[in-house]
Amino acid sequence: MIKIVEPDHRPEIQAAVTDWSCNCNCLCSCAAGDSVVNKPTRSPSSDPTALPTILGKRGRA
Amino acid sequence: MVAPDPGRAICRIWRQGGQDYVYDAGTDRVASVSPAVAVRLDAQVSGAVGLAGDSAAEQEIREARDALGLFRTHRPRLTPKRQGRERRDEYLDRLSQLTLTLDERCNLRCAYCPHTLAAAWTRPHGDRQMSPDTVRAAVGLFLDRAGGETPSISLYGGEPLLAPGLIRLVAQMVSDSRRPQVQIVVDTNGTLLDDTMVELVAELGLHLQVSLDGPEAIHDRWRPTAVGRPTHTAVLAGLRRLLDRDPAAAGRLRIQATLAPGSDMLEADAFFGELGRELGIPDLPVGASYADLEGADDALLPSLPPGTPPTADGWERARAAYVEACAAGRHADLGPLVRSWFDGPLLRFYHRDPRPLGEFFQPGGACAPGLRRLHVGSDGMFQPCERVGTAFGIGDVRRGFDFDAIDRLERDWFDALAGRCADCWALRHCGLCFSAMIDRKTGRVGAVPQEACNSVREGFEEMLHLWVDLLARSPRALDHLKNSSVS
Repeated sequence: MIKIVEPDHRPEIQAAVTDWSCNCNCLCSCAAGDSVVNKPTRSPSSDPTALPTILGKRGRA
Repeated sequence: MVAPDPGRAICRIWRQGGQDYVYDAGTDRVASVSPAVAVRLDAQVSGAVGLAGDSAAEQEIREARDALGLFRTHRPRLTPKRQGRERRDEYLDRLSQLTLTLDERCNLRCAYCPHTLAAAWTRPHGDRQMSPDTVRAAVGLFLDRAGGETPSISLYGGEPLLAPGLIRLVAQMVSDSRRPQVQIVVDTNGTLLDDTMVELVAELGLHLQVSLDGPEAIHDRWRPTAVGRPTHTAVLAGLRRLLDRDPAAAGRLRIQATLAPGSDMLEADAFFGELGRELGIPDLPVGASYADLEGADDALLPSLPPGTPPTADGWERARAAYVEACAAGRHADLGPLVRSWFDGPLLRFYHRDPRPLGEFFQPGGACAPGLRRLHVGSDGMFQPCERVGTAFGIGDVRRGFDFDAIDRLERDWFDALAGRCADCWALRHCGLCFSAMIDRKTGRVGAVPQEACNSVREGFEEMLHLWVDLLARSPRALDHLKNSSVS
């Protein structure tokens, strides 16, 4: 049986949530970018291209 | 024109906790499947077989495709973004974050800082301060036309508190403008918050992002002054001084922690939880990221006890604590660092676009350079953001945006990805940006290395595993996301 794995409350319609109209999908957490604190869940081993923290303002994808 | 259809779905299949799962990029959904379906899908995705058979698994796959839209074989056509020149009227009107390198000087020499490490892709520690004329020109452009609901100006360095006169100039311009609600965010190391500076922060209502790495021993190992003195005590004293003078600053404060070798995520989390309680800010916002030491000269790094792992420790334990707490409905009991670290990617996936993959797709995760965020260097040069160093100039305060340079950067980015995204199962969640084109050792710009793509897939897969882990433990494990929003 193929069964979708979702919480029953996930929003069906994406509000104008994120204005990603600039196409920015970076994983940084800019102070004034995504209001959500969006750090990668990556473990250290899978984060070889982590961006520089000191330049990552942010907030840092 | 329709993109070529190779006859294979774009899926990732894995086994976790004794159950098979598949992530389907076409619908951006995760599904649990039987072992027979997983085997069949795996063979189909790898191109070994089609879906024409009549086995029960094949039938089930076809039914899921018809009923749920899963496992479609459609490929989007990759397209570059609209050229900057075509949308030049949008520029400045859409800009919501201006970052200014007010002062290249810094009173600290953090060991992981790319300026300290003399990284090839950015400037070394400098001594240039932005001129008042450059500040006026940059801030004037922004205030005339900035868009977005919460436009902000981030003051960056070096250490921006070394230039209080320029901070006052920025604040005065904001106050005199038609956009007095523009937030001014100071990205500071927090060591200079004496009575005078605290007065400045209070008077101007500045927002602060303070770099603090956790407990004293960890912080002081990596964040000494230019003459090697510890800084942890000064940062904490400055925070207390600020909140004594201006209790409302609690709502304008954010901590940014860098997790370097020798630090432990759970230990840092406990420290920040305690700090928030002590400062009377139970929901103290704490962001964190790993120190980037790729290519760093070991001789420039602090000595560490033998056996210290090359990156911060404790990720697995922190993840386990997060899963346990969420499954038990105790998300609020987690510390601020662990919450922010694991919540972020889940929130982004939770709020993802529910529409199926369309006919066209713009690959990668890069911004439209200078459209929503713009960094202005101390010399007045425009760059897409402070994270790409000085590699991509896109104009300056005197001449404005250089749309030829913007269009060239967009083309280079599209070429650097070399069309490899169409078959990538993580294409909808790619976080790569222009910085991926910069060779970290030489500073040269070129193709995006395959390792960067692998890293994106690994990071996204870790999020998928977390998503599945949580919902397998409890259907209510993501209830803390219910009232969330992303803006």
